[in-house]
Amino acid sequence: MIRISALALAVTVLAACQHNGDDPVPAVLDDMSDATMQSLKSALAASLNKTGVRLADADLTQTSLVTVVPPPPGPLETRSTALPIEYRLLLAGDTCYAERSSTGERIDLPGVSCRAL
Amino acid sequence: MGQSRIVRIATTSAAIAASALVSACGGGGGASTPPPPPTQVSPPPPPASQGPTWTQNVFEPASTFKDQCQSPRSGTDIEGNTFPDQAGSLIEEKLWLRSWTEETYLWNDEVVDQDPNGFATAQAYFDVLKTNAVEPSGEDRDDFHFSELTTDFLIRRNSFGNPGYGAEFAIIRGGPPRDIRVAYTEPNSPASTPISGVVPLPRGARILEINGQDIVNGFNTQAQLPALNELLFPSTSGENRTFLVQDVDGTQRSFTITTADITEKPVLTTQVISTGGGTVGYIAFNTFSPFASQEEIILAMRDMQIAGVDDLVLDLRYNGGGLLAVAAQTAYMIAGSSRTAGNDFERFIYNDDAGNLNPIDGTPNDPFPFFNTVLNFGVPLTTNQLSFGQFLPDLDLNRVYILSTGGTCSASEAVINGLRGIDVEVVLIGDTTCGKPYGFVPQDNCGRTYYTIQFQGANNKDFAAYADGFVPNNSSAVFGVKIPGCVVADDFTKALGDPTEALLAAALNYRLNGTCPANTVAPKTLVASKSGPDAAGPALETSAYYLRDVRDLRRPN
Repeated sequence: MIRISALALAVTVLAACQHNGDDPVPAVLDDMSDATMQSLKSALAASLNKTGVRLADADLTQTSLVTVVPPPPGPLETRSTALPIEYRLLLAGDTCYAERSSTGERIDLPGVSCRAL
Repeated sequence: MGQSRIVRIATTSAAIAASALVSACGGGGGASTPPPPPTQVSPPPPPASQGPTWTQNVFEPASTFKDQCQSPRSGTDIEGNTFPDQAGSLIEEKLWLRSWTEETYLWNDEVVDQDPNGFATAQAYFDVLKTNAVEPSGEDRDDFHFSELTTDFLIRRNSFGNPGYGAEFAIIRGGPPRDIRVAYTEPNSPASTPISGVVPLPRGARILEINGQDIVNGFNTQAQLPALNELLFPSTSGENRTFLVQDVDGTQRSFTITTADITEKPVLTTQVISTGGGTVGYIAFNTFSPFASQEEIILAMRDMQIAGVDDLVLDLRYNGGGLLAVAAQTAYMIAGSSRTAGNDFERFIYNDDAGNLNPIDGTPNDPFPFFNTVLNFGVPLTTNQLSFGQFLPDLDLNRVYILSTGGTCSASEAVINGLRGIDVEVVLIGDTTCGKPYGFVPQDNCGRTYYTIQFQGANNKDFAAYADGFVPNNSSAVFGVKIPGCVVADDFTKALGDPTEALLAAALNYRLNGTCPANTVAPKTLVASKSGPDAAGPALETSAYYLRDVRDLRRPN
């Protein structure tokens, strides 16, 4: 009985920790204004060492999944490695950032405000 | 190489740091103290030499010279990206090519380091930045080295159709007397839309004349070939062209059709064929690009799954490749989750200097898995039966029949190799595939887009040596990778998907009794849309593009 109570306490403590304000939680954009989207795209482009990126259509005020889509392959590209790149919008405290799904890389998003999903 | 690279980085960093310090000091004084008057000093003497120089076998980082252009562009390209060009020089453009080749070219240690000053243009210099090695088969090791104007590259990859008739031609004999047949037609195109109840350009029809010009015996000089190409592969839409063709039954017909912008349909047709030994699915899959090819092949595979097929014949005879991700999805949907789990579809071999990195972008050299979900390429799905991220259907097969010709290339060959890497038996029916285990990422610099081979694709067993193609086992070919199957000539007398068409019939027969048809020596056919192993010049392009630019329909008889 004591063991069960201890376990329950531990679970409760862990759950509380997960709701700590500084732990990242899935987030969505506060708005999709031109300025916000430009800031988002600029940050993602910089992380990919590109001058610009195109995002897949999505309502980022409702979903935290951001997808950078590749340019279409040219007709000579018969073994194109083009792939979409997925990110999750996360909020840690007051800081909104994107996390690349495949690598865990964190990309800060200056000029972008989020709210918890 | 390394020492030079470090020196240049250090110098640049020092300059930036010095600049920043000067800037900080200059900006921190406030407005109350006017700056001292400039001191009259003599300007420094000009440097002894202008710009960078070439030192044999010493390579500075390509990034040093990137976008340093003799004629820098300004503004944005048609995709909305700002041109990165800065004022530079021709020698910097050439030195970028040289360093980029050293960093990313697959056979960088086979490139002879020549003085770029001996070449009039960057393009001319690029042309020699490749290996001259020859494979045991006699083929050049590198057949895929070329460049084009970036404006052309961007227009092509963003176009939603290219001018044409909607017919893909097979070049059975390129020199006079030419034998050019219709391989297939796109649905709802000028070539396939009936005129008075007759399809103008059905599969197998031989092209005799266009606009009164003799396609069979005319155009006998090199100078005339552009005109021939323009007739076969029109560069503008909305033009009337009058054809004289000969159908497979010998009948000659004349008709007029109007060129139009043609969009290729990736999955041309599917069939579910009932046989004595169960049901067999058939999918004619003609391209792994554009992005829409993903949806079409998924829906076709789902239909096969619903039909409960026992085997699959995947017709890749005219599929020159495209998106490797869609190739990986295709292989997954054939093999299923248990065979693919934890295995790689394709591993990437870069040059020996790359280590564990992809030298093209510096990221880790990660293999392609057998992708098992719908990927979001940014193109909306046309059906609500699929959604991004959804798991793919699969057939869970341990064997697949693949129909092939010399036009079966690149990503198509990756499907064959990838499946063999996880012990799925691939039975090849048709002819030797084109033999292109290589890939590249086109790279713009100063208005020109360069293609240089940067990686070789290996399967889960690290096999990548199929530069001479995959060969049906009963072939007399000396070179190439022999795998189970039969040599069978492409059968232009029957429609694709017809169980009596020679390749499909041979696959169905092989499935039942494991034997090949007799007397099936396949003539090498150059499918106009994709280069065959004996094609000269750039490979893997659409028919119009390939033949317009290469300007040579002739091939050895």
